[in-house]
Amino acid sequence: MAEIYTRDELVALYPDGTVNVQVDDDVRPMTTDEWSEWIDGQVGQEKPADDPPA
Amino acid sequence: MAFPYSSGNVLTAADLNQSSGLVLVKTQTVGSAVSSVTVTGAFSSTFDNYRIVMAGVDCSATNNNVYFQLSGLTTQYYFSGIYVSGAGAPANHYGNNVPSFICGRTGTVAATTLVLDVMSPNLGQRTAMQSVGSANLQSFIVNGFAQTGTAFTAFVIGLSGGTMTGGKIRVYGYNNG
Repeated sequence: MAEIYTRDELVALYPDGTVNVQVDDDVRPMTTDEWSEWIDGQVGQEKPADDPPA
Repeated sequence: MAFPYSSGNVLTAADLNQSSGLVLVKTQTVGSAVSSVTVTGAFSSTFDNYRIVMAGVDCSATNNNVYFQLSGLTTQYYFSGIYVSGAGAPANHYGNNVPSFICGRTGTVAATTLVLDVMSPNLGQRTAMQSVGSANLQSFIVNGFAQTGTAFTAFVIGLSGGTMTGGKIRVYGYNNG
């Protein structure tokens, strides 16, 4: 059975201030509220399995 | 000079470029560690149908979904297709009134690619989409539509998880002729 992400793991992978959103050439960091919602949306997702050979 | 041309017109290089089957509308370089990219000025009344090609995108994690949205429309996407992986049997892939058109998978080392045709996004009617999205040996082959009466000029490509860096998104218009 695949492992799933916890919130703590996601926060460690993608700390606040390190995730951006882009509109055309304008790239800006997510606000803390945007980032928190983005993290919450991934909690419970399966961790990536090993890729098959490329 | 406006297309179509008439007998006796003197054509410039710009005229000849315009008369090709696919016309480059916009090239957008993907930034660093972005969760989504909004591309504005992509759709207009110049073309009815479009091809979007994304290539060379390096994602922070594998096996997340790549989604497409008409900018501002976060519901009413319907699609069906197939998901194929080199590690298992093919599987059905579908969505019924969901927030986005899920059309690809993420890969690292610039492996995330997407070829997506979008029909009638700026005509204020149902917008159909057909795509092939892949990363390494994983592929989505999907057909669907967005049930809408809005004319769109922009779209969003984003990920269900992780971020993407680099690569380009190119938008082409199919010449109406």
